[in-house]
Amino acid sequence: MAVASDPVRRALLAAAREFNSGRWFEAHEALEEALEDAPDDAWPLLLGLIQVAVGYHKASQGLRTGAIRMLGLGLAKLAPLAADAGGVDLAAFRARAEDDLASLGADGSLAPSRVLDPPPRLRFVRAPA
Amino acid sequence: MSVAKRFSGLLVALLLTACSDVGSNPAAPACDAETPMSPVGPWSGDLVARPLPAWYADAKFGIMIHWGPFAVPAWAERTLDPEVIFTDPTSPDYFLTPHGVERFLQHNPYSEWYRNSMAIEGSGTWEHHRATWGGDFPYERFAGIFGDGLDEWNPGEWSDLFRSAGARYVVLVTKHHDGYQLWPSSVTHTGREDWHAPRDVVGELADAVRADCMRMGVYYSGGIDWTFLEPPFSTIFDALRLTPSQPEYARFVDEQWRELVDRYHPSILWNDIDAPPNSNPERLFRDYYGAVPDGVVNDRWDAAGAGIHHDFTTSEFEVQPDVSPTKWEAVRGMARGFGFNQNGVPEDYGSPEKFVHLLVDVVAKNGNLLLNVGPRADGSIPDEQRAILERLGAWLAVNGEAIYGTHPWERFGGETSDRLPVRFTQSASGATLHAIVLGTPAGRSVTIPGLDVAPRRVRLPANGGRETSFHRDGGALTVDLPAGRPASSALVLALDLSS
Repeated sequence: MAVASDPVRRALLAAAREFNSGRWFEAHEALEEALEDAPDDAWPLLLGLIQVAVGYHKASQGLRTGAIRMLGLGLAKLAPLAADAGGVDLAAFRARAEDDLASLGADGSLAPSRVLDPPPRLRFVRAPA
Repeated sequence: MSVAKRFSGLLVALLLTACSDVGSNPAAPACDAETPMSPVGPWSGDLVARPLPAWYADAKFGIMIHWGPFAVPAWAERTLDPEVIFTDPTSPDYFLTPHGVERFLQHNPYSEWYRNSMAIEGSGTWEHHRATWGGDFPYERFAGIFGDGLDEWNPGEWSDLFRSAGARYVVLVTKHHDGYQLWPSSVTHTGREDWHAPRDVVGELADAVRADCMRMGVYYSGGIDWTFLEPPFSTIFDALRLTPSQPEYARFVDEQWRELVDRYHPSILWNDIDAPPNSNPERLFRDYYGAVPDGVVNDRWDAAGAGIHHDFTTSEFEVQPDVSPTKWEAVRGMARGFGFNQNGVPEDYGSPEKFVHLLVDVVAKNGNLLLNVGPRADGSIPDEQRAILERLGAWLAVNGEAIYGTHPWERFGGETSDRLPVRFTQSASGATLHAIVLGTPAGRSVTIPGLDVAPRRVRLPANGGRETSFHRDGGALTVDLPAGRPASSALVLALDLSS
């Protein structure tokens, strides 16, 4: 499915462009805008991605507690979803966020912004069926 | 919208209230503001005066992808080397002669021409096909095999690799000469229904590429379509009738182009060979520019040289000899063709450094490099190709300032005192001149005779951007190289010429 014909896919693409540019706050905004008109079954994916994006935004600000909290909330929402939910490479995305969450919570010595090097990515794996 | 939904949104908003400024990662390239689809109708400006969109001028490096049923047999002769036959007039196989054209058709080095090559009795591909697949195995069966393998294809992995290589745009072959389409077209082809991929490869790759902040372009073979005009084509006379001439073909091509524009709003329309007789490319361009205001089109709509509009010219396996006053694009495969060729050998590729030098040479002459990737049928990218992309990415990550967004200087190059080639680019403002040494200087300094400029300082991007000492002597510039600098076979000297 081409992006232009699917509002959720369009929002995911807009969010991915922001997320992959290191603009996690804007990624959250792009996803949040899509919530209103999104079908119910798209909500767990959108909310989970929003919260993970917020988690990375907080990490970029050096806010460890907020980053841990939001990454954890987001991962909990994303956990039950299919590995390619919404056409997103969710398996890779979750694995990266889980690693970052573990690093942030390990012993508190890692500067939160260090988990952004290299920056996390939100990429597509296939169009939704 | 349910109460629960609203509450969830509110929860996110509340959790963000402590965040006042915007986080960003300077290492990640930012997406440019791709112009959205515009509903304004045909563009009515002067095609001759249309300025080149800045994104294309600045991008410098794109990836082309040849992938389709031809990736299943993935075979072509190694008799001819495109680097020779397209560039060397002294070669007995020089392409721009009747003999050269026939040699090309009969010993085609391009695996994506397999459908034609397998039909030329006695050709190497004809022999290979009979021995490997059987003389009665039709090309069409490769499409079934290709389609079955598509389930494993991951557009995000491709996009990851291309972005890491430093590419700023991607041009996908949406329909090659075999007529097979990589998108589920709704345009009727009465002679060949369902001759397309079972996944929307064009749409899915467009999404993945755009998510990674690259531009998406589409290649389309308008001048050859073997579902309208059956192979074989092996003689000079055949070469003169490659393009189907029936009116329904012109209609088919025009409708498919418009479908590609409407569905995917590509940033590049990259036609190949020619436009069909009795078609009107410039009417298509006007509608396209109306829909995609910063789109660009290439120059292969006009085999007869009738002067049809284009935004850039193309050179295949060939590099312009000097700075071109107009934008051009060097397009080539990494080895001897575009589609993957399992008959190739590692030596066909050359070293990864060769492609770094090629990129620098092209950019210094006002070109972009469109470097082709030929994946295997299962979507995997051969190691030799991957190594070239990784080398380009590593070099660009350090030295990208000498490439992206640059302009040609007053001349494209020169030589060091120890005869290493040098290429020049300058920043958009003209404040920085980049002298790029194509090779590894032997000593602790590098001298460029004839470079009569007076920099305020000289930086070495490969040494963390640190300044280094230099001196001028008799119209030559000598730059001192620090011990222990990272090895690079394309050393950038960034000369600050600001006043």
